[in-house]
Amino acid sequence: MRKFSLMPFFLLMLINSLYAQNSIIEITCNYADTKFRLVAEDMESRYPIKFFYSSDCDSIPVNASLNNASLELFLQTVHLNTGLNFFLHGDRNIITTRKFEIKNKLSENFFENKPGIVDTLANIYNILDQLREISGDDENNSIENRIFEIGDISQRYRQDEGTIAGYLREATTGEPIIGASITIREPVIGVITDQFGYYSFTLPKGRHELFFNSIGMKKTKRQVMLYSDGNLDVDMIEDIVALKEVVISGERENVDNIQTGLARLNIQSIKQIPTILGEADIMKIALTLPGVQSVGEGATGFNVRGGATDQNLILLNDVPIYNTNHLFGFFSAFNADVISEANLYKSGIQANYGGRLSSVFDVALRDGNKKNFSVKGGISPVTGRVTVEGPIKKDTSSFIVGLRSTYSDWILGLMDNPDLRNSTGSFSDVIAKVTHQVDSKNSVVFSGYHSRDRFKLNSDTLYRYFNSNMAVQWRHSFNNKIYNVTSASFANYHYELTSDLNPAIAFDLNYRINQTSAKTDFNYFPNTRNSIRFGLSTSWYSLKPGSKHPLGAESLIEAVDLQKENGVETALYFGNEYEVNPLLSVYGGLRMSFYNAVGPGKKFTFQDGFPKEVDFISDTITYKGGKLLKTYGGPELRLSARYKLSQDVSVKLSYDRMRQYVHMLSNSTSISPTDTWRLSDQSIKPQIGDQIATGIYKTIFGTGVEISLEGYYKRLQNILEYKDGADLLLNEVLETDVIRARGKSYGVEFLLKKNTGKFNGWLSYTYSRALVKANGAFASERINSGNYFPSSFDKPHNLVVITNYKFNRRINASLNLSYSTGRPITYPLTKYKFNDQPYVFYTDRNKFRISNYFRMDFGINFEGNHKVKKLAHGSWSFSIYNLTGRDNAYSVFFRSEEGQIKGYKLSIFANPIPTLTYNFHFR
Amino acid sequence: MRQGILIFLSLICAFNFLNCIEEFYPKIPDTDNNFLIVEGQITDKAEPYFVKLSRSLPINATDESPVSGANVQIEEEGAVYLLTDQGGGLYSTNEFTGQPDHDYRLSITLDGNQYQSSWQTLRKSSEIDSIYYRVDMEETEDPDVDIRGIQWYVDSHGEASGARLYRYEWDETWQIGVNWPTFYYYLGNDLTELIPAEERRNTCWMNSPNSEINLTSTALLSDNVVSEHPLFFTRDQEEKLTIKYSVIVRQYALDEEEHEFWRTLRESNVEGGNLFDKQPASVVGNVKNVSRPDETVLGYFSANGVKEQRKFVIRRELPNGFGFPKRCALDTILKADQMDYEGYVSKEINRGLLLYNLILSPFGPAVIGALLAEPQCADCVIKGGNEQIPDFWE
Repeated sequence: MRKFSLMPFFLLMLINSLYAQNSIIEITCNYADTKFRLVAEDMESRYPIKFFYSSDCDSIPVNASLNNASLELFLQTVHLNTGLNFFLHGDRNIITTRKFEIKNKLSENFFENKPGIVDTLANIYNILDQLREISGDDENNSIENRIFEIGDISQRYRQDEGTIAGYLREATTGEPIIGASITIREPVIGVITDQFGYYSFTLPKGRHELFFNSIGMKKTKRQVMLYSDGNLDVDMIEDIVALKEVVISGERENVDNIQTGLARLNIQSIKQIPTILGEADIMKIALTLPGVQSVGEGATGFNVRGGATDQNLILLNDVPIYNTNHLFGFFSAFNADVISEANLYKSGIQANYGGRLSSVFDVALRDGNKKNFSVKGGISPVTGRVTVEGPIKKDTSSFIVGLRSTYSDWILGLMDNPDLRNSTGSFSDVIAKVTHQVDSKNSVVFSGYHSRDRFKLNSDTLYRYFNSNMAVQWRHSFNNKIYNVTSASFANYHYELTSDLNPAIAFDLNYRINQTSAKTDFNYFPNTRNSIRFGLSTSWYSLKPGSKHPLGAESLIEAVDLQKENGVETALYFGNEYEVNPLLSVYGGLRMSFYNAVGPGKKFTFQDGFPKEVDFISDTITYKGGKLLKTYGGPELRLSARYKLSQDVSVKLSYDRMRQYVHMLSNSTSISPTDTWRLSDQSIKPQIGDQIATGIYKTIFGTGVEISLEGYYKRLQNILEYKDGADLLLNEVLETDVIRARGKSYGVEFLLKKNTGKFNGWLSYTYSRALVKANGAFASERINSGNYFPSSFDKPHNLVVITNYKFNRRINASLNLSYSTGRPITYPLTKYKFNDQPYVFYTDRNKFRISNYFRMDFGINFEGNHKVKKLAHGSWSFSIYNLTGRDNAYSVFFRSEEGQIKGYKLSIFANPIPTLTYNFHFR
Repeated sequence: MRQGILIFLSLICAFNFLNCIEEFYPKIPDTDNNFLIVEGQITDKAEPYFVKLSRSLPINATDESPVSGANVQIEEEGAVYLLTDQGGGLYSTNEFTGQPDHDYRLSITLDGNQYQSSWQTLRKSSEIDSIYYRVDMEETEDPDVDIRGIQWYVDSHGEASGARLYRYEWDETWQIGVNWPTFYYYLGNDLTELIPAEERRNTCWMNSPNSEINLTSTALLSDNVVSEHPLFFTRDQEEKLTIKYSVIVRQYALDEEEHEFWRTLRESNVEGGNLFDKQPASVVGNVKNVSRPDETVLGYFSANGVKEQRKFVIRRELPNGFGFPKRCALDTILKADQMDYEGYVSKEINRGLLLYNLILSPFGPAVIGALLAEPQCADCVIKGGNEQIPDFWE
């Protein structure tokens, strides 16, 4: 192989120009499938010519059989059967190029395209110089310093910009790396990989240095020479030690991206935080972020910026999960071993998401290891879990299956309350995903989730609930600039209550909601400045709101079957993120959403001038199946803008409108297993939310510190409140118990985060209010005289501090604090005697607050040794939840007992709770 | 790994942890709200009925606030029955008995305000088939302590078209004895006098009306049958079952509105304190100010058909071990031990102790001391009982 080196080349040039001769060469040869390198060597030995070529031409087969032909004819012949281009410099030096042609004349339309640039010889040498580097197989040239040629060099002047696209994968497992950032420094622009590890980056043509960053991965970079659109796949190597870095989002993402109110949760950071009962829990971590609150401990549902728990769209691999609770909320639905990351969108929600008012919590599953089999697992006090993954066909398809189950319900036995002590509870869940790369343009993903929960309260009523989700996604790249993901999915949630203690009233009660969806989503990157996403989605809801049936022959229970409910939700969306200039980016999106309530159904009309009470039903109209009962819908506008004040400071602004057509009815302050989801119909209108958010974001480079300050104002319409004593289970005429209310919330969120160094963590502080107003026409439809009152999750001050210290590569410890204002509560103001018993009377709802909440947690992780090649990795983590043992009140309530009014305080975790967990990983 | 779990378990158990409920009284400011409370019930049983009027009090108040001087009447279509003010907020009917399927309304005039209940139809109650008990255990907050007792149930049946919503009330009465029955007064100097039979306080009766809201519904059942409906638990340890015990259970027929009233009252006053607590509710009844309907009036006026049944339980019907009274010690005073025996004994008797017996010398007819009993061991009235035998006692 001929190696180019700069000096001899210039020397040759010099010699050639000095001693140029015009001697005529006659060539006779006979090559049949001879490698080009051998041809060149043979020719050079026989004739006074010199070939210059790069190593990629070496093995191209040449067929030529000539007799006394001219050099031009010979080159023409070889060109025709190999596609190689030759440029005769002088009359002896033949510059061989494969992907482009060197011309000494300008192309006809050259000046239209690139005025001012002349394709001089110097330019050609420059290209050759780069070719030398590209092909340089020098051992010392690591992959990071080598230049990758992207695209077709002949296209290099056609347009100003080219698009590099490709996949980022984990080198040993082949798993896609989601949410990694790809940036260049001049100008500072970047993109993020999507859930497939795919990126599309449109750049000015020419030489670039691309930096690849992802949490838990070793940083890497690539030198590219961008000629036109092309592909660049990059493998990144897991950074075993960096695994333990607490990082919520990429380095400067918060400054660079356009979204307000976005938090990216990486699974590595999740495993860092001490948790109760030893399960890393992605939803508990979400609660440490500014603007995210919950009613109290043991309540898994969370409230985002003053929204109810049902206003969060919780997606697992793009399919909604209706009940995210396990075992009274002590565990969440997501097995952390199978999750790659989760994104929480609090505002600036783009048009491709919709259907819930407050937030989108998008949880992505990991891909299985495409290269090797591995087993991972852990044993904590209550649960055991195991994850198996590996290739089905090496490098093209893989699977991952995560199983989790309780192995004991001893924990309930420790409760004081005899009802809970005699209860049994267990759960299990399984998550599976199969990824198949059909070819370079097509891939298919199957994913599934199934969970089952059962608990028996006081050995009487057995509660069981199930989530079942399935999805098939087909991803197709048309080219570098456009790809499509089409998916079909199915989500089911159902619960069952069985009571068989007394045979005469033994029954079972069923509730079921099915959501079948189809979606097609296009991502189009026409150029550096525009990033377009559009698509269509539709969901068919079919709901059995409740049926109760006798159990056993002795049962006298009469069967009740509530009318089935059906509905179709359709949305068409389009959004474009446009970079006006390097400082200003704007996003405009429009989502047209429609909802049709579909029969069968019943409509109740009430007497004019009377409140909606069962007694005042004047007429009941029954509709047949398939009839369109009611249509709602309208545009949802989504706008965002980001302006960079400097390289590391930006300000952002966003406006979102959201519509929600399915509602969870809950009379309790936290999520309970018998909460029912119902669809919008003639009487229950869709909820509508509007939010304006703004923020300022700063990165202190070098120290890895991020600061952000966000503010928001939100207005909610048609949210649901309940009449006093509302009974929502098996309620046929829901409108008699539900009150339409409006809400407003506003707040300021501050986040300070240090990502790097031995000492890292974050501090988040939120001041927020969440208010509700129910001012109906009748007294029973008014709460607190129709004035605004604080919602149950209105906790104005909320402070979370997460700190983590890395002692060495194997030991790190973390200490976390959490403080918030006590939640609002209704206290009775007066008492009275009735039927010889004292009772209390509640007047103003949520007028008082329970005492402020404070908790401190401690956790320490011991890693096994870090030999990367070791077969099994083991680690121990020990944590203490509620280190100070403060008995934070969950609720305060009053009971009439033995002729007295007694006040009580309920605390869920009133003592320090130590947990020891063992985790292992075989590969 | 198994070892790891065991270590963990023992660690956990060192902390008595997880949810804890403790008494807690938040500071609640006094309010000047004093809502009118109306409590009235008529039935189809021939007896005087009462209406009670009072006003609500601040949550921290200790006194009561009865309302007297109101004009109270029960209206029926074509008839008005005036109630007599008994004082203390109590008003009673005179020779009026509710009739099934008649409509009644309560009407109150107070300080120029006119209050009215909604019309109540008196629905006949279905028959109680039986009330019965089973020996059972009740668990407590302490996992090691279970309380033994008997659980009461009711069965009833009615016509399919009859009332299907019921509320139960019960009234327990039980006979109590004393550990050290006394028959003599001590007169001093070893002299005694027989206590006349009618003054002896060795057997009494105690009574406790129910305090729970107990509801059931057959509305969703194919038959109007109440089967094995649990009523209440009688604890053995309260001396209720030491001699003879009796309970009367009343079954009231309710309409939906009243059933709902009791249900929400129970939910917001008795059932608080679990993870899935409902929003506490304000429970407003069926009485309104006629001219100012927005005024909060609490309580309920109801017209219920009633059926009742009484049941007795004698100790020997219960399993062995049931019905043991609490222990009570005797005070033995010996002349040999006391410098001033007479003075000491009369001081103790003045303090309330009762003479159980004199101690005689084993060697001859001489008194060497006295056995005295604490009053709560020898006087059933002091134990809280009533000497009067109830008229229904068998």
